[in-house]
Amino acid sequence: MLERASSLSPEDRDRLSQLQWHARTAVEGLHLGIHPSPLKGTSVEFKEHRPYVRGDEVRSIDWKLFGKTDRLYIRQYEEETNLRASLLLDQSGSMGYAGAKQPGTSKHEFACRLAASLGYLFAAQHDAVGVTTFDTAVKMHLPPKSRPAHLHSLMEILATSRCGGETSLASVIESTLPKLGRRGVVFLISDGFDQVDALLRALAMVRQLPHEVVFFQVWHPDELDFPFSTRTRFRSLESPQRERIVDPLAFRAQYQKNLSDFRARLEQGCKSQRIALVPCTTQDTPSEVLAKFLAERGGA
Amino acid sequence: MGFLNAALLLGAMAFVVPLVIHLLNRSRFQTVDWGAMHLLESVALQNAKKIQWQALLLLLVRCAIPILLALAMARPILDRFQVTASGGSSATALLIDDSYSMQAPAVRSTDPASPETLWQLAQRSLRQVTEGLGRSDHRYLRPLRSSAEPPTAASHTDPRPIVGQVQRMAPDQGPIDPIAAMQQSLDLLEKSSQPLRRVVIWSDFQKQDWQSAGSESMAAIRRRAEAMVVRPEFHWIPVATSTPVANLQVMFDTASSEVSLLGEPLELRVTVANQSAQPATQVPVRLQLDGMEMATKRIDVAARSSAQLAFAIAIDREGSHSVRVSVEDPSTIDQDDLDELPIEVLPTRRILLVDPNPQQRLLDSETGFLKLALEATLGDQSNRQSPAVTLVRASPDRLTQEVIRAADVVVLANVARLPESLVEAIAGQVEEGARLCIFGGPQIDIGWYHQFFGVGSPAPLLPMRYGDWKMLSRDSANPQEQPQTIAPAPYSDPSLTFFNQPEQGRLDQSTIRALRPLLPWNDPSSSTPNSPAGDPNTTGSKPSSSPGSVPLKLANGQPLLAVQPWGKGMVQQWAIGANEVSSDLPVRPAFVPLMQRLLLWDAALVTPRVAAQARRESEIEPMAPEEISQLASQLGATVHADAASFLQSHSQKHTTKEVWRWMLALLVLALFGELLIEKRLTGGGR
Repeated sequence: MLERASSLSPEDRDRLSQLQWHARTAVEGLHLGIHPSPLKGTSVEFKEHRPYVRGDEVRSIDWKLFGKTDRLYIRQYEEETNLRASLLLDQSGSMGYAGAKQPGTSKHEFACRLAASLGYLFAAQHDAVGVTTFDTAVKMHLPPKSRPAHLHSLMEILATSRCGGETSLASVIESTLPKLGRRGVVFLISDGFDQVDALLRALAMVRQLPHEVVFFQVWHPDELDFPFSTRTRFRSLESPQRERIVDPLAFRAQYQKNLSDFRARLEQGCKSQRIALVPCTTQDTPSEVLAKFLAERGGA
Repeated sequence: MGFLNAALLLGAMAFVVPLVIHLLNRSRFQTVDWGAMHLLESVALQNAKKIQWQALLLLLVRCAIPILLALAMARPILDRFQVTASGGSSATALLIDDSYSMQAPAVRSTDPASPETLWQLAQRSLRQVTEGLGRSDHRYLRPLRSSAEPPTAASHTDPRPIVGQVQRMAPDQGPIDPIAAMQQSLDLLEKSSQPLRRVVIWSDFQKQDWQSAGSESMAAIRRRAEAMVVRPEFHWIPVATSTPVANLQVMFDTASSEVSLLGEPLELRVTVANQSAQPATQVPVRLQLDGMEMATKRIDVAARSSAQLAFAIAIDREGSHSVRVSVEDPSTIDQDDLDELPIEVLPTRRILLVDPNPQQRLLDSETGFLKLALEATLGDQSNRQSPAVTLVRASPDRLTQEVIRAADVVVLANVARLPESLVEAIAGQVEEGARLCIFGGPQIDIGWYHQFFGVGSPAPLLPMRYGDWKMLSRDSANPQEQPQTIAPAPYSDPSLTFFNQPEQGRLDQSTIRALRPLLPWNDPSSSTPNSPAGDPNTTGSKPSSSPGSVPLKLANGQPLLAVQPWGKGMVQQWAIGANEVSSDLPVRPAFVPLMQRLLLWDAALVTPRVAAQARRESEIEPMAPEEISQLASQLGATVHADAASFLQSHSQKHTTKEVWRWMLALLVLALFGELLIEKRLTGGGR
């Protein structure tokens, strides 16, 4: 699983190499990059004129405008910088679900592959990317860096990631805030199985920093379809002593109602916080998920 | 509550199937390690109790389905269910009295000029009832007697075939058998599937028919009816006549058919009974032989009494004949206005009398009296050769095998011995059906008889062995040695029952003066006179023969006549001779009929007359209403005045009702309920 999680197929790499992430908001990077910065810099992108004050570089004076207006104006350009992407990877017990009848890709495995894809994408753009794995608390933290060797470290963390333990999404996100650093993009890769209100509160705090937040919500198809028909004992992946013996046929309708309520509340909360909520299932391919998301994002 | 097909109730045990499936499913489940418990737990917490109840309800409904199905198939019936007459389907056995006493006029006759008979009244009443029953009611029509029809007779829901059937019936039968008829009706109703079952009876309730049935039989029927799943109801509709009924009845005074010899004068006694309150005068009584008028006599019969008259006929043709006597009676019952008597006329019998000395004077010879007795069959026509018998007298030394083979009856009267060559011919002839009659006497060589006809011989014809010739004298001190008389009537042998009536002749007046005792074979030393005949079969002789019997004894118990069947024939062995030397029997009037019956008659041809029993139907004596009510109470029957009363009483009544339709409706509801509950439980997602 580890190898599968941390390694990307040539097809994935090929597809990812064609993708490019552009920050929608200004980000504060340390290096020159392709993303807009709140600071004014030396790029070719003209931003505005401002009156000359003493101490400004003479070469910044717009002489053509002086000729027209007989006043000294300084010509200012947009600064372009690199992006800090922080990947928050949920490795709680619930992410370990891989299907009841024919176990396949687990949600955690999918999440790792998605994180690896993002890491590859940003490394290719020379953007800084870091990862934080957590369940009830932060387990591993790799700060964002843009060195090529950093991707290897990221992949190693993903490969050694183990899921287990209970979820405490909101508190973990809150505790991660100081580590997020300057403005960047925060990717939360999780099933989001936590109190919706607390989760949204925590994400709102991330948004206020202000980071761009993208929430990849990972589902297993069984969780959406609830395809059980015989009497079943559901045992919690996070705390095995919690179990329910139920007749799925009798519970199905109510389960699906609860599911749609949960998803609707999460979607509504994310929308109000301008957080991009990207539902995906373990049947999807991470690169395709990214490609589709970026296509929609670009269109927007 | 009862069930028509109670055995199918066992099908209700199928309810364990859903129960077992439910329990098995409870204990069998798959385990899934699940992440989204928060979605599941809230559902479980919210609906667990509700769903538990629904699952329990579903289980109950599923268990109820096979139970309801079994109940519906077992056809339950509710007792004491109130319905209207047209509301419930019934099976009704209609039993009508078709004995000829039903020809008597009815009391409630509508037309005095042409009075309605009880039969017509009952027919009308039955028609009214059958038409008044509902369309779904099943009707069975039966005569009130034991019927040869199987109890699965077809029923009709349409009254018309029943009406047609009763129109074709006629009251011309003998006595009814209400008990057998009711039993058969119960057989029939037991097989029917209707929840209401009834037996309706129309009868004139003659005492001799109904009281002879007995209260015990009624109680037995009642017990059987009460034991049935659906208890049948009994309804009686008596049809009453006014007594006395004007009716004349004629019948022969004999309980059995007659057997006669060719040309023998036969006296037929006839009784004419008058049941009316008026005397009958100069009533013509006709006698017909084989349909031909023989004689007509007129007779006066006082009111409610009877008179006798006699007809003398002689039939000169052998074979079966029928004599019919009829009386002219314009009133009511026709069946008892005539009576028939079968008469069997025997063919000519060839009799061989073997006499030691046939040249002797007739009455001094051994067979003289016998010859006269047998020829006396001609009565006053003694100047002619009798057509009934052909007599041949011969001495033993002139006998040939041909003569013996030509005889139907061979009489050996005091014959000392026969040529040995004839022994086989005699035995063969007896075996073929002839009768051999051996009279005792002083000349008999008992050694020869015992050697050739005794036990151990090739043809052990003698039923008993002979003792020494013994003269009986009044002077003897030993009572056994004194003259004896023949034992008086009654006699049980069919040939001798004739003498049970003293006027036909008395055998016990004869005195026996000398005899050769008949002793049993198995006790040669014994001389006990009371010993019965020995068993001659112990020798294992060729033809089969029944053990011998002693139809006639002396007053002191000594055997006088022993008989033994042999092959198709018979051997008669007398202790005395056939002439006057040993007894005065030959000069007694009874000797003639005695010899005729023993030698010529065939008792097997006499049969009892069944018609004689039917005559009790003519003695019209209906039961009083109180007696009918009492008898009805023993059966638990309801007595109705007429058909209207019966129909009225059943317009509203308590009865049983089949409720299988309800069970079926419940079953359908349960099936729909099961679907709904299951759909609700699964959220329609199955």
